Amino acid sequence: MAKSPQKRNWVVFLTLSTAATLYVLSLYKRLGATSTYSPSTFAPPTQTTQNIWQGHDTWVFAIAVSPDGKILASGSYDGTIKLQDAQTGTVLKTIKAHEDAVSSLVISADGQRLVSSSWDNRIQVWDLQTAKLLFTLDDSKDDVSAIALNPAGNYLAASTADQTLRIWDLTTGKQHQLHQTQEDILSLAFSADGQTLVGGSRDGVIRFWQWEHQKLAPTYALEGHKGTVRSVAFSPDGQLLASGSQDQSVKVWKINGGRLLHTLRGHDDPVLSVAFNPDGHSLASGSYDRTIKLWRPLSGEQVGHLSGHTKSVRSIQFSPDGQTLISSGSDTTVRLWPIMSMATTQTQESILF
Amino acid sequence: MFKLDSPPYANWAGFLATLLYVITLLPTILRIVFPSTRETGIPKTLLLQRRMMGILAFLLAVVHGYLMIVKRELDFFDPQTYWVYIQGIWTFLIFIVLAFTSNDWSVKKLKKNWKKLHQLTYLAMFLLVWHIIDKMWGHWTWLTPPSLLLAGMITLLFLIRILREWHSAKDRSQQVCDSSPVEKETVKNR
Repeated sequence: MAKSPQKRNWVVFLTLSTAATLYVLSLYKRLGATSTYSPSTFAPPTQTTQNIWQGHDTWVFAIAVSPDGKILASGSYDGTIKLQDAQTGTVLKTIKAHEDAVSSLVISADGQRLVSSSWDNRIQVWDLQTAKLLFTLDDSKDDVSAIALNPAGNYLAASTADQTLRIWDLTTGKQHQLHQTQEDILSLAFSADGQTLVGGSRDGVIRFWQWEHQKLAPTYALEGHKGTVRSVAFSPDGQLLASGSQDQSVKVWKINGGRLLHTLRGHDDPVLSVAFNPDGHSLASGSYDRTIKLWRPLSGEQVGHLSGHTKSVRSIQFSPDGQTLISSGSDTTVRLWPIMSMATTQTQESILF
Repeated sequence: MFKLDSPPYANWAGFLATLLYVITLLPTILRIVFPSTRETGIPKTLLLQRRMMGILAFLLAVVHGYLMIVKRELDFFDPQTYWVYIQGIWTFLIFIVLAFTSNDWSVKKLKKNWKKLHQLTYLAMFLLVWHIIDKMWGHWTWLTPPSLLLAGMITLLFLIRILREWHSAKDRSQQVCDSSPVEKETVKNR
């Protein structure tokens, strides 16, 4: 008799907690991030991965390809950076670069320097050829969220979690400028002419700064996204800007006039990364829904759907010749996708190492 | 590692949670490890405020956790997240259980089991030390040394307490073995 009320209490407790869990899961879906992968029903050809590179032990947050297309750098949660031969996948060097996650990687236009940023508040500048540390920038007071290198390679912009934007002069290694921003800036990009810096913010606003006389000055902002702007990218000709957001959309903006050209919908979850093909004719977006979509930025048409990652796609970049798309994901892999005609479906996979 | 950064808000919340949490552990530990403190009345005062401090510590831990989750955009639908943040998550889960049962109704309902349940705090104590070391490794702020000192000190004192209690129990059982049957009964019943 004494056990019966206790058993009832446990049953009630289990029922309530299961119901609460299911409710929370459904809430999470409504907030724009789901746990279930629901493949797009869009018609464009589906391509699965050609090459899968496994070498990291944990989430690979950042990738960068050298301008000659020979070296691929990937950075992961455990602070390591791997330098690999971009053709064969052979690991050239593994660097224990940071004490916390590598949040962003950039390679200078001359292919000589690799810059890495991290949640350990540090930015490290490396010689890409020898993998030797050149110097460390440690003025940041919090996680470094994003970095961007101007085309000349002499100024580095970095945003940190304490809502600051810092500019460093890489020739001297000294901090050049400090801005307090109104919101966390999670993504940065310099335009091809180096005159404009753009940042995607947690409040969904895309902020612009003009780089004149070696100083950054805020100019205007683009509003439209309903969630954090996770990634921004300029088109090679500097006419367009693409932004990927927590609201599951990609927006293409005309820089001249700050006009919204297209809102690209198709992803089922937040868009974490966007990249333009060097030829400027196509745009790729990687998402939490584990897929990558290819779009025509001017028409807004979806032209490709790449599936293969088993967890969220964290970072994407095109090779300099535009023939290959490289992606990294939370599934600890780096994947290479040949960008060819989307008329056929490819199913062959090979693991290189 | 030797450059100490300024602590962000999340770290402040974590430090204050640690401080208050350590204070909740002090009464029993002081009473056993430093018996002379009983005369000062400090353990008794701390005991009276223990529940409120424990709940405050939990709330600060919630703030700490929330700020970190937002900043790092942790994905709780990825099983790897639970492995990577295992100490923090488990410490927090224990804190949730302790906070939600820190009321008279739970004491009444759980009876003897309440005390057993709240001994989970000692597991949380070890997990906390591990959490601070693991997550701050290589990029300490100036809050990290005092946090480690607090968490480390209370863990050490706890171990001394366990040792003392073990020695006491051993001495008592030795006395029982050595004494006459009448005395044994008296000692046993003490």
